[in-house]
Amino acid sequence: MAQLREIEEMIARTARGDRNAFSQLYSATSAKLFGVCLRVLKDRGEAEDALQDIFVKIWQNADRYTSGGLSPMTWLITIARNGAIDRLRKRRMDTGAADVIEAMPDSAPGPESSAIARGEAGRIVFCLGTLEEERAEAVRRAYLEGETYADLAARFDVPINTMRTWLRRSLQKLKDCMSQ
Amino acid sequence: MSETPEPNAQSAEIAEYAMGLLGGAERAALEARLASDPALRAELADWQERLAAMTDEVAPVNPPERVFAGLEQRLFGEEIGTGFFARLLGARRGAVAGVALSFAVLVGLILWLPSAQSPLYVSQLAADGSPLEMSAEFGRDGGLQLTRIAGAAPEGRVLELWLIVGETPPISLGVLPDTPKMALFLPDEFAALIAPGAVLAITDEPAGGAPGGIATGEVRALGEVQAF
Repeated sequence: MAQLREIEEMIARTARGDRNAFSQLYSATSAKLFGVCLRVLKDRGEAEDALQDIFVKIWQNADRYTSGGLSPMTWLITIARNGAIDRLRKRRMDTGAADVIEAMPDSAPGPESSAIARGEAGRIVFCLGTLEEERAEAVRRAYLEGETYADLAARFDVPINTMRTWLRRSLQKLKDCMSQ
Repeated sequence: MSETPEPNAQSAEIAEYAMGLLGGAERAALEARLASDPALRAELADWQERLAAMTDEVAPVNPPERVFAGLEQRLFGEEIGTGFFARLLGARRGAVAGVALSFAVLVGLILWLPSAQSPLYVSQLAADGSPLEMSAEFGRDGGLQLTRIAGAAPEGRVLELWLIVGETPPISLGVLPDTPKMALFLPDEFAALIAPGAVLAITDEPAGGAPGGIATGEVRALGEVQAF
């Protein structure tokens, strides 16, 4: 089962061009990162393309990992989330509007991938729960679905500046809650 | 006195940045501050940790096999590798691809300073049919000194130095300046790879260096690393 330290070691070996380590890293983390891509893109084909781009980035930038000071899963998830959102925004610019198709998982994750534990698991869920329901939803949509202030303002039917004030306050509360 | 943003507002702005919510001008201004302020970068890392925790609620989904197959093809496949590295290593064409680790933090090129110490390793770089000839000395301090003996980059091209160790993909050590003597300081992880049997190679590449860290030009010179 892959623990965080093992993931870190896989990234370090990948940085030295070790293809076996890269393959292990893919086995251990691709299900989680694919889940993130599907959540953002809601389209299997696009999520597959995004996942491939993400692992190309991981291969090419593995040597930058330690300098960032992040936990290995955060580093990988941030690359995946940002990569998927870039793709989402490009698609919106191309088509004008996102076509939302509910993505259905076709297979359960293997024991390896589901074993990756995050240190802060549960805390963020608790802290989001301390916010008003709509505000927590706005934070989730901004991070997990890549919605912009304009998207959120339209969804919650408030002016953009109001939306921004809401979200910034919510983020501050989240920070306070998570550092307790 | 310059105006310092109120701490909470600054933290919120960094969170917005981490989420990709800032517009062009605000983003650029914050990126400039991030580049010069380690405390801000630490705050950004904290936000990335907090926000990434939100993906705990995202169920893992196994991607289909074709994704990894396609990935291997893209990174290590025949159509990407130009083949010459495979040939020079005596390996099957395509088995070793011309994909280099991206050299995100560029190797610092500095003025060549003569060292009183004798080098650890040396290498003579040349290739049949190419006028380029260089010698390389690798010092105990992690510095790699190159001396151009003959030849130059073809018109409109630049020379890029590669390190090849075993069967792993060539590692770009950077684009070489157009000077007779040059010195590179290698990060420890690359310096540790320089040892007898490793190969240094120089290719010609478009201005700015190999696109995406993948060698595309001809090998202009190469040589094995030897103990001094």
